[in-house]
Amino acid sequence: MFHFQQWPGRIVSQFLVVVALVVLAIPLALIVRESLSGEGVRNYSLVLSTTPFLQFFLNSAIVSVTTVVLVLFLALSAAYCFGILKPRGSTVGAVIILTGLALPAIALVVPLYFAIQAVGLLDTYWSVIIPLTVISLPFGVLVGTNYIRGLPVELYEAGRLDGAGPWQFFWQILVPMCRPILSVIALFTFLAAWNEYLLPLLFIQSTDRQMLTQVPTYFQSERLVDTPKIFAANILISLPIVAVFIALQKTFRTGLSAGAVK
Amino acid sequence: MTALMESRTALAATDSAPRRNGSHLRNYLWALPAVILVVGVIHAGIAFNLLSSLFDWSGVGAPTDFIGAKNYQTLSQDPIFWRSLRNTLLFALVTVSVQLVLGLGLAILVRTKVRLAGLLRTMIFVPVVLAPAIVATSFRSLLTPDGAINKLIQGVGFSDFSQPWLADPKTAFAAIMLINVWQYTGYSFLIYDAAIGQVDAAIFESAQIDGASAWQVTRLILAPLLRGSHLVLIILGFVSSLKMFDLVYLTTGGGPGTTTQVLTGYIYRQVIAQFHAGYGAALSVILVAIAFVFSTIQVRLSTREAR
Repeated sequence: MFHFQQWPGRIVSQFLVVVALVVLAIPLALIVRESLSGEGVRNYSLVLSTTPFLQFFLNSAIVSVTTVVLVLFLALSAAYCFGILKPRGSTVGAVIILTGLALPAIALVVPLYFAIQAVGLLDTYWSVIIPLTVISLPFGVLVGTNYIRGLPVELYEAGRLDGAGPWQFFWQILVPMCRPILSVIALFTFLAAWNEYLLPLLFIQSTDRQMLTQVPTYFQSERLVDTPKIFAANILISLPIVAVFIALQKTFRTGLSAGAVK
Repeated sequence: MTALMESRTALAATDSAPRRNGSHLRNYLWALPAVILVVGVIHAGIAFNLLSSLFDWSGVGAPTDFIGAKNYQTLSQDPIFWRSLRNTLLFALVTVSVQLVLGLGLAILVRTKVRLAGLLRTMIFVPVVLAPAIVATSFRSLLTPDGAINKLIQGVGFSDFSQPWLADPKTAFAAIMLINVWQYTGYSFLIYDAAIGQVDAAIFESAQIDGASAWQVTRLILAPLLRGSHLVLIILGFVSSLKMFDLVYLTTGGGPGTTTQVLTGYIYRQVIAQFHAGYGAALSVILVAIAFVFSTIQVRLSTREAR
């Protein structure tokens, strides 16, 4: 849209784009270089073979996928209630959920610790999954409800007239129609879960249940202050999420413009 | 099918009241699990904080020493609390404004006739999805006195500028904010880029025909059109600044001294390291109150735009 720019402006623009690329790339390049110092590529294989890295990876995957599934179902069913069924007083329910929108998990540290201990979930996946799900829910409910309210009314009235009960309507009409916003909620929840640091730090004690973000801390606790290996581990941790998000960046962008930011 | 529908309507008409009541109750069930979870964890947690903030309590066993509002009194005279609060707000103010300006600038740049715009769009995306914990531990090593960044600075001939970035109270907090800007400018960029993509290009062409310069188009046409994006980014930026924990905890741990401490880190220190659960609860109440203001604005903004 600024294609009418004259050539002096064009040179400045091109220069700025290159500067931006360099600034973005330098830290990443330094991290890669550090990860290859010392024993080179062997740093990577040593991280994989001598630390419980793969176990941490699996734990992160279990926690993240479970959280995403729970948030998707809970958020969409609540949005169905607030956006379509709208029983009397449902706004109160929506307000109750949305008050949690900006809440930092650390503000709930004390009560969470006692509650999780009381129900005997300390040091289990659930001690991370439940708080993560609850903290991620308000965002899902907010964008889900807004999305549903924006859908053409005729579509679900047609569904109602076809004689579909609420359960069939939810699964056969609403879920397919909400696929775009569901993928947005899934992406954001997955990102938050995969990158979560505080909750496993607080509630997971056993090494074999730790999540990936704890790997650098694990190195320190094991007195493995081998910086290149920490960097190699950091890259191994980041590669899957970077790959997934680059592959899905179109969904991510659409999500930002269609649902998430509105 | 039609017959079936008619018979259903007829049925509904004859005993509409009880049927509607019955279906109403079932309607609530859809939201019930989410509401129970949020009330059970968030609301009960906040209530627990409010209550335990009235006790002198270590966090071990049940709270017994009721001290009324004394924790809040202590807090109002606690210099570390005020420093943490100031740092949190300063962090929000600085990172949000810098990320907004840079993000918008880059979003405009990739719309000009430049090469490598596609690469920039992808590259800027990478830091955004990295875990803050990973970014923080990486930068902590890169920024040590003999770390890679200082070596790079010396390598290009600016030895005077090499610094123990995170260990010097003069530069530590600025360095932390810079790391955040590096990581999350891409987020502002993505939102602006998406918003600009939805603006009708004809507006710009006609402005150009009328003789407007690129700067005028940006300032007088584009910036006002992006009002919604600015607002969203400001709110989301403040909210994530309030939540920010990993970055400070894993780079400086709030140090040197308490110069880079933020509210979340101070709560962690009081509750986990020093067993001041009652005092930590009082700090949490303050944090929740601030967060509540922002979630209210976020909901208002979001529901207004959806209509």
